[in-house]
Amino acid sequence: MVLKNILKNNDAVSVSVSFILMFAITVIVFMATVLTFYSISQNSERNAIQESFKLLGGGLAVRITGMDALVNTIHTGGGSVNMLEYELSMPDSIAGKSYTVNITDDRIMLEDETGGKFTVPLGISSNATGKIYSGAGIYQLEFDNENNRMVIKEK
Amino acid sequence: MGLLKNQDAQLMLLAGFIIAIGVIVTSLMLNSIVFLSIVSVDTASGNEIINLLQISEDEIRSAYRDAIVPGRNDTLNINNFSVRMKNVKGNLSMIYALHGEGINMNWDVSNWINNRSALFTQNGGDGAADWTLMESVNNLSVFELRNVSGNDLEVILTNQTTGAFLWSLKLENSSTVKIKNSGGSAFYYTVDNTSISLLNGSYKLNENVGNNISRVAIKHGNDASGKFNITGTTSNGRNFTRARDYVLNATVAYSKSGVRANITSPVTVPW
Repeated sequence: MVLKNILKNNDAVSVSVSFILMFAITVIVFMATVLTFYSISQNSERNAIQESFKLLGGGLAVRITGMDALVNTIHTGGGSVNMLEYELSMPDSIAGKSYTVNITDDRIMLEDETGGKFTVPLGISSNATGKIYSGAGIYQLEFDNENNRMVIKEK
Repeated sequence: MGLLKNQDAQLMLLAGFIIAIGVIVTSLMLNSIVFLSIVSVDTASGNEIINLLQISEDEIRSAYRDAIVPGRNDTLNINNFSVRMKNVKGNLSMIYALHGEGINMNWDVSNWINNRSALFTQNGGDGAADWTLMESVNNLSVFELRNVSGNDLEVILTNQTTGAFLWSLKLENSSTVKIKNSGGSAFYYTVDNTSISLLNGSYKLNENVGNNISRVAIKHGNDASGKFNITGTTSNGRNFTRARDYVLNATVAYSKSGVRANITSPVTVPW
């Protein structure tokens, strides 16, 4: 009898209880949706930062090894580099986060403000040094003739 | 039909969704473009600077060869050289300017003016002291050292294929050379250091080399200075000349958007 009339029965819950139930269900669904998209966006952000670091580090490595090859060619021929400067443009932030670029003789290390790191190995015969912080926009890679090394700095 | 007359905002909702998706797609595309612009680095600058150095080296050598008139006062030769190089500098500056690049070229002829000969090293300065002057030599028509000073300098000819020793000249001092033949015997000769011809019949260079394809090497080039000239044919029948009178220094300045360079390079003349 009960089963037979269940579809036509409109007395399930009162208006106030149904409102509370609907409100609770809505909040739960909304929260689940927000949390799902938040975690997805977090992963995307991390991937975006890593990819950006990979591209940025690779571009820097090309510039540094290019300068190293040029300096070596000139030194091998008995010449001297009185001045050699390359201007570099880098974004103020990557995925909304500031970052640092630290160059040593054998690697370029990029690190964002949350501690995410990416390292690009360097194979150069000269020395290279310098640490820069994002935000300046324009940087300079130059050859320091006195100390026979490449230096990166803000312009 | 009902959809168009419906006042329940379905079209507004639909338009809202389309706009939202459009904004997301545009954002992603712009993001990609920004990433690409980060890595669009100019890697050609190094090659352009090397090209400019090579052009200046070729032009200086060519200008030197054209300026030299045997028996004429060196002051006139140097003047002719300078006039030619000024023309080259002007033309090169104009050509580079058309590509949006600025260059400047200067040359130092102090070694020429003061008759300062270069070391017998590979680049005439502090380069390799032991080096190969010429390979695949089949026949020599001129081989001379001029204005030589110093000692220990050796000119060694070996078989190009086997590496076997064929002949050598060693500068004992400014007036004595030691000639060693392929049999290992050594002979001493008194020479005039202003001009030493290695093809002097007494030294028997050609007899010891015979039909061998030879390699001509310099050893201890940093212990002596002077001029040299070697002319002949290679094993494939081509004529060659290697000669050095002086080392002139060329300084080139190069600039374009984002790149600035100023480089000094030694140029050995005439070849």
